[in-house]
Amino acid sequence: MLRQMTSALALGLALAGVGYAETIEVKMLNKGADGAMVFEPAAVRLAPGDTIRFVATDKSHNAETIDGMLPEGAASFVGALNEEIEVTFDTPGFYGIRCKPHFAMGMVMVVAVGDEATAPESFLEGRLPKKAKERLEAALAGL
Amino acid sequence: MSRLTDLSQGFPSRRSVLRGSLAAAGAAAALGAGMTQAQARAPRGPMPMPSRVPQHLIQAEAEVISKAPAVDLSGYTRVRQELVAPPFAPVHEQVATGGPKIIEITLETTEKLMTVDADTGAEIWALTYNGSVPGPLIIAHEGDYVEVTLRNPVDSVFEHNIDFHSSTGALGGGALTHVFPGEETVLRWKATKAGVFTYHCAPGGEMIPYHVCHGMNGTVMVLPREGLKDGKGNPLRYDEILYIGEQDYYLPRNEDGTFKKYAVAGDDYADSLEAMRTLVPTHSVFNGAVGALTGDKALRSKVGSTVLMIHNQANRDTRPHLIGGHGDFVWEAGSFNDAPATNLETWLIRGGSSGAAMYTFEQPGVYAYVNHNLIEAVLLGATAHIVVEGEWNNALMEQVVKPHSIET
Repeated sequence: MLRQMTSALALGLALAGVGYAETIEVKMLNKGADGAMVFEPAAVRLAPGDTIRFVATDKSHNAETIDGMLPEGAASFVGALNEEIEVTFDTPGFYGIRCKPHFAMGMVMVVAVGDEATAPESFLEGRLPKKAKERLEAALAGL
Repeated sequence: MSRLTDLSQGFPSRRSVLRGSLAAAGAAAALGAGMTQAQARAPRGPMPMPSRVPQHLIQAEAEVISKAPAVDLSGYTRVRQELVAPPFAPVHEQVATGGPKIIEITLETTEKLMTVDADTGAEIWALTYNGSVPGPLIIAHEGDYVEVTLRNPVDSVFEHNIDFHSSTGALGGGALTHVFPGEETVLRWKATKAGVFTYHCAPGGEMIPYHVCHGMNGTVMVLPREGLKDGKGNPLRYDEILYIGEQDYYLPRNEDGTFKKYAVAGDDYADSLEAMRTLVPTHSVFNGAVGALTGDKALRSKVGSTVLMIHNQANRDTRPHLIGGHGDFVWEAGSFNDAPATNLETWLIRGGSSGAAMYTFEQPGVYAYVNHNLIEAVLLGATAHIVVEGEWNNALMEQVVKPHSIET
C-alpha cells in the first residue's frame, strides 16, 4: 500500500514537472512471451536515478550485471537467488543483466540509462552464450 | 603471503554493499559508484552470497597466460584413450612402455534424466560427463599429458567446465574450460603426481555444489611409470579394476514426502540448493542409482583375482569396507608416491578425493562393498555386490556346527 502511494506520488510530482525517480518492475519468469527463462520486459530505458525492482515471480532466478557489460564507472551488482531487489541506476549508458543459473539459456536483459540511442560497439564483444547474445541483440533493437 | 586488498582503508566488501546497509551505501557513494541498492528482501530467508573471483584478477591471469612461451612437445607420442562407462576402466598399461604420451580424451557434458531409485520414483536431471555418474575413469602415467576436449552439446541448459585435482594451475583447469551450450574447448595438463584424483565441474558460485551433487565428478588415475609398488618396492599388479563413484544426492520432496519431478534440467535449481543446505543427502549411491551394482547387476570375479577398487567421492567423506575381505594395500588418500597401508578393514575417502584399495579374493561367495556408515549403505544406497567364484578354503573359515535349535 505504501509503495503504491509512493508511486502515485511520484507520478504526480513528475506530471507537475518536479524531477522524481521512477521505479520500474521487471519480472523474472520461467516462461514469458519470448519463450523460456526471461526477464520481462527484457529491454528497459530509464532516466538516471530511476530504479528497477527485480521481482522473482518464479523461483530459481537472480539478477546481476554481466561482467564487462556496464558503463565505465558504474558499479556491478549481484542479487541473490529468489531475492527481490531494487537497483537504482545513476550512471548513463547500457547495462547487460543476466540470471546466473539461466545465462546459458538466454535469460538476459538490457537496461539503457539516459538518451544515448545505440550501445557502444564493445557491448556485445565479450564471450556470451549464443542464446544470450540473440536475446541481447533483440533487446537492443527493441529499446 | 600478503593480502590482495589493503583492509586498513576500511572499504566494505562488495558483499556488504549488496546488503544495502547504510555504511555500504555511503561507501558506494564515496567510491563514485553509479548504482546503489535501495532495498533487498529475501523471501525465503537469508542465503549467503557465494564469493566470486573478481573480474580484474581473471583478466590478469589471462594476460600472464598469454605471455607464456610455447612448450616443446617433441618426444611425446599421441594416443587416444577411448573412455568407458563405470564401473569399468579404459584399456591401459600398468607399466608404461615407450616414452611419455599425450593422451587424448573427449568428455561431453550431457544433461539427462536418470533414475536414482526405481522403487520410490526418485529421479534427477543429472549433469554428467559422457552420460554416466560418476564420469568415466581416465588413466595416464606420471609424466604423460592428458589432452581433454570438453564439449557442451547445443541443447544443454548449463555452462560447464572441469577442475582436475591431478593438474596444476588455473583452478585445476576450471578457469580455462568454461563452455557454454554449443561450445567446446581443449585443455592439456601434465600428470606430475602419481595417484588417484577427483575431477569435477566447477562453473562458479552455487553452481559448483549444484553440478557436483548432480553427478559431475569422476576419477583420474595417474600410475607410476613402473606401475604400483608395495612399501618395500615390490611390484603390485591387479587383474581388474572396480571403479566406484559414490554420489550424494539431495532430492527435493513434495509435501507428502514423495520426490519431486521436473520437466527439464535446471528446473530443480532453487529446490535443490535448499535441500543441499541441509547437508543431509536423500541418497548416497554407487554409480548413479540405488542398486546400480547389486542383484542382477552385481560384479563378478574369481578366487585368486586381484582387484583394484577405486573410489571417488567429490563432496563428502565416506568409508569403504569390503564385507568378508580386506584392503590388502590401500592408498587411502590417493597418492601412489606414498607406501600403501596394509590389511585395512575400513578406509576413509575424504570428500573431494579418490582413494584406491587392492585386494586378492581368497574365498568364493558374495562380497558386499559398502560405505560402512551402514545407514548410508543400506538405507541410502551405498552398496555394491561382487560375486566371486572358486573353491572354498576350510583352512581360512569353516562352519564347525550348523545352526540348530538349543531347545530340548
